[in-house]
Amino acid sequence: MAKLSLSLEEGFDNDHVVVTVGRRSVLDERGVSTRYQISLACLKEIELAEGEDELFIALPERGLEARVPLGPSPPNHVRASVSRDGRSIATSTEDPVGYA
Amino acid sequence: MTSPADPSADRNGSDQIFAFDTEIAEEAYAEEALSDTAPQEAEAGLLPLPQPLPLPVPLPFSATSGRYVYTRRFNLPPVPIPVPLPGPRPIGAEEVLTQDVHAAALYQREEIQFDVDGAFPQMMISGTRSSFLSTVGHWVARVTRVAPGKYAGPIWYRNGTPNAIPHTFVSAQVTGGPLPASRKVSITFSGGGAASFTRTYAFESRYRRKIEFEYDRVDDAVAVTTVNTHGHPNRPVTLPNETLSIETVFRRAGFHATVSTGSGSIPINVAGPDALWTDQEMHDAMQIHWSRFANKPQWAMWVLFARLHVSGTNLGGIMFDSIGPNHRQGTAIFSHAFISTPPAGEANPSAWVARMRFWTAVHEMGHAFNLAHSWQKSLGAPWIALADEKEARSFMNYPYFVNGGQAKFFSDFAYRFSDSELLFMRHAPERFVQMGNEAWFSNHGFQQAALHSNPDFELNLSTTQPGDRFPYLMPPVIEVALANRSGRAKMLSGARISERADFTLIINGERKDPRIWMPYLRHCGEGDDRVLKPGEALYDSVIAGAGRNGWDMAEPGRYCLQAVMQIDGEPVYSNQVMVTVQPPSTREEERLGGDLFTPEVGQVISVNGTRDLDHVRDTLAKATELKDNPVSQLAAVTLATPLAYTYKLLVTEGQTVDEEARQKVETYKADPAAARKLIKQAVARGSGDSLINAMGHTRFLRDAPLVAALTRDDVPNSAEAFSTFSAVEIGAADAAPAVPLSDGLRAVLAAKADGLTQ
Repeated sequence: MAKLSLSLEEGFDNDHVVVTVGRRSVLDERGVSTRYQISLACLKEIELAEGEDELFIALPERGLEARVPLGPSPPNHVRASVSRDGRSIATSTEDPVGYA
Repeated sequence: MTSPADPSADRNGSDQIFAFDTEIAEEAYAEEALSDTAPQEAEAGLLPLPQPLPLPVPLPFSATSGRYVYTRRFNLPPVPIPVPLPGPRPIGAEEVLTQDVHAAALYQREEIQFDVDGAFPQMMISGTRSSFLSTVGHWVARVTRVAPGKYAGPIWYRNGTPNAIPHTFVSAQVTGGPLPASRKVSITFSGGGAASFTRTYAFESRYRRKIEFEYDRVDDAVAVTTVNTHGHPNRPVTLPNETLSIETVFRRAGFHATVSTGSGSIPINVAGPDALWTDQEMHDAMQIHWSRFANKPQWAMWVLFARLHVSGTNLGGIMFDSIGPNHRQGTAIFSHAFISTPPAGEANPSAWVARMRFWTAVHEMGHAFNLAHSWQKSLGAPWIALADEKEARSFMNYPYFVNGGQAKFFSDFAYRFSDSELLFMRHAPERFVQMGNEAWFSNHGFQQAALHSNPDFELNLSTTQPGDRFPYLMPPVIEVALANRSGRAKMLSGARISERADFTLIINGERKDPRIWMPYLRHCGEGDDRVLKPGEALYDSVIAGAGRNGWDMAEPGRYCLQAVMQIDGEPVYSNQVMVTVQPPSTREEERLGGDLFTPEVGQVISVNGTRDLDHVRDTLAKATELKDNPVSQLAAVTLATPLAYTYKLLVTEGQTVDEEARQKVETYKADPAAARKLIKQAVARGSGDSLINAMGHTRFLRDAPLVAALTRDDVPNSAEAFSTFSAVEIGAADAAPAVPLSDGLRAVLAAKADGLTQ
C-alpha cells in the first residue's frame, strides 16, 4: 500500500481544511493555521488504497479547492499552500527538504 | 540546568559547547573603563560647558558604533548657544538649545544606538527617550557620513508618545579619543517645527544589550555551537577562516552574547517513552531546566539541542515558544533531523552536517529575536514595511529555497543576517526584539497598548494600488475591514466605520508629524446593529488623503497609516500600511497640484461631486485629462455622479450682515449623456477595475445606483436616487453595464456589499 505525505504549508489561517482521497475523508480539521516559525500548518501521512487516483483539498469556508491527480505511481509528497492573495491553493509534488 | 557541562564529556567529541571569545574581554575592558559619573552635568548647567574636541581624522583605532547614553539630572531653563550647524541641511539663523524644550519635563534618560562602522554597519542612529517609569518615544534616522566623524540624516521612524520626538533631522558628531570610555556623540535635533537642540551622549557599550544563552543538550543529541568557516570547501572566497561561535554571530549583530553557566545536559527520559519531543514537552523542560526561566521579558534565551521532534525528521528545529503570554523564550534544534543527512554525492558529509546544524541553531535563535523567514518578511505585521528577501544569504533563509539550491546558498553565505534583519535587531523598539516581550511574528507599532487589542476583532487596512504606491495628486484610498475573530456571533453597530466617532486613523509621514485623519462628514445616528457571524466583516473605504485637516498626504514620500477603534470598551488596533506617494511624473501633474490640493476639491471628491463650485469642477476636468494617473478616473467619476440624477442645489443669496440672507433651491436636470461620456472616458484611462479601485470599493457600492442610472432611461431625481438606495440589494451588479468589471473584483464587491456599513 502506497504512502503519501501531505504538507499543508503557508497561508492557512484558522481554516477548516477537508482532505479526501477518492471518496474517503482523510482529514477534516478546523482551526488549521500556519506556524510561521516553521512555515508549516500540518503534516499528514496518508495510506493510499487501490484505485484512489485523486487527492482533493478544500477550504470550504473560503471557497477554495485544489485537486492533485495521483495516477498509478502516486507521489511521495503533496505540498499545499494558500496563495498570498487568498484566492487559490497552490500544490506541488516536490519533496520538501525540511522545515526549521 | 545548574551543572555546567564539560565539553570534553560530549560523547560526540567534535562538538564544543563553550568557546572563549576575545570580544568579551574587550567589552569588559571598555565597560570597566567607564566610571559611574554623569557626563551630562555640564549640559544641565551645573558645570561650565566643555567644548567638544574636534577630530581632525576619523578615530583610527576602533569603531565608534555602540550604545551611548544621556541622563538628565536637573533641568535648568534652556540656554541658547549659537553654534554652527553641521550637516547638509541648513536651518538658517535658528538658535540651537542645550535642552529639548518640547519635552523638557517628560523624560529623564535617553540612549542611542550609533551604527556607522564596525561589523555590517547600517548607517543608522536610533534613540529611545524614557521617563522614570517607561519609554516615551523611539526614533530611527538614516545617516550619511558628511565629514570625518560627522553624520547627518532624516528621522524616518517614530514610535511612542506623539510629540515625544518632534524633530525630523539629526546631525551627529563623534568626539573623544581612541579609548571607548572617552568617546561621546553630540547630536543636534532639528526640523519638524520644533526648536533645535544639541545633546551629548557618553559611550556605554559596543552593543545594544547584553544577552545570555543557556544551551542544554539532551543525552542522545548533538550540540553544535561553533563552526569552522573553512570546514567545507563550498564557501565564499573572501570568507575569513575562523572558528565561529553562535555568540560571535550575535555579537556581530549588535548583542553582547554570553553563555550561561547553567548550560548542561538533560536526561533523555524527560522526552517521554518515545524519546521524541512535543512543543509542550519542550516548554515544560524549559521551565524546569532553564536556570533563568521567569516567564517575563528578558534578554535571555534557552536553547535545547535534542535528537528529534515528534513530527519526525522533516523538522530541523523550532522556536517552540509561542505558548502562553510570553513568547520567544525558548528554541530547539533537532540534531538528527534532515539537517544530519547530506545530499547524495556530498564529498564532505561531516563538514556539511556540522555547518547545517550550526545554521539551524542560529536560525532558530533568530526566530527568538522575532525574525521571520526571509521569504515571509512582508507577512504578518512587520514593524516597518518590509520586502521579502527570497534570495538573501541570511541565517533566516532556507538554503535549499534559493535559486541554485543549498550549494549556491553556501557558496555565497557569509554567516550573517541580512541588512533588514540587522536593522530590526539593532534599531527596532526594544520590546519588538526582546525575548518574552512582543508576541511572535507581531511587531505592531502602537506602543504597549497594541498588546491589549480586543482579540475578538481584527481591523485591517489595505490599498488596491500595486505596492501601496500612489501617483502624485491621487489621494490614497484605504480599504477598511473589521472582521469578527471571536469564533461566535457578535452584534456590532452598522454605522459607517470611517465616520464613527470611535474610529481614529493616524497618518504618520516620514517627514511630518503624525496627524489624525478628519472626515469631512459624520453621519448622525449609530446605524442599525448588525450580527456578524464568525469570520464575517464590515467594510468601508476611506479617502485618507483628504480631510478636514487638508491634504495630509499631498507631499511625495512615505506615510505609515494605522487605525484604532473602540469595540465593547476595548481598543482594536489595525495593521500598519506603509503608503508611498510618488513625486510628479509630468509638468502637468506638478502644475495641477496647486489647484487640486485645496479644501474645496478635497471636499467635493469626498462627497462624490457637486453641480456647484465651477472652479473646482474646472480643476477636476483638467485632472481627467492626465494620463497614467488614477486621479483622472477619480475626477471623472466625481464629475459624472451628480450628472446622473436630477440635482438640487441650495443657493444662498445676500451674505452680508446688513442684507437678509435669502435661500432658494435650484434644480439641475440630469445629463446622463455627459455622465456616460465621462465614465466611458474614465474606463478608457485604465479599466473598470482600476476606476472602482480609485473610487474605493464601498464608495462605489454606495453610488452604484447612481452609476447604474446612466444605463436607464428613467433618470431618477435626487430624492428617489437616495431613498431607493440599498447597497445590499443593489450591489455592484446593476452598475456593471456602465462600468465593466472583472469577475474577481465583482466577487470582492459582492462580499463587501454584504458587509457594507451605512
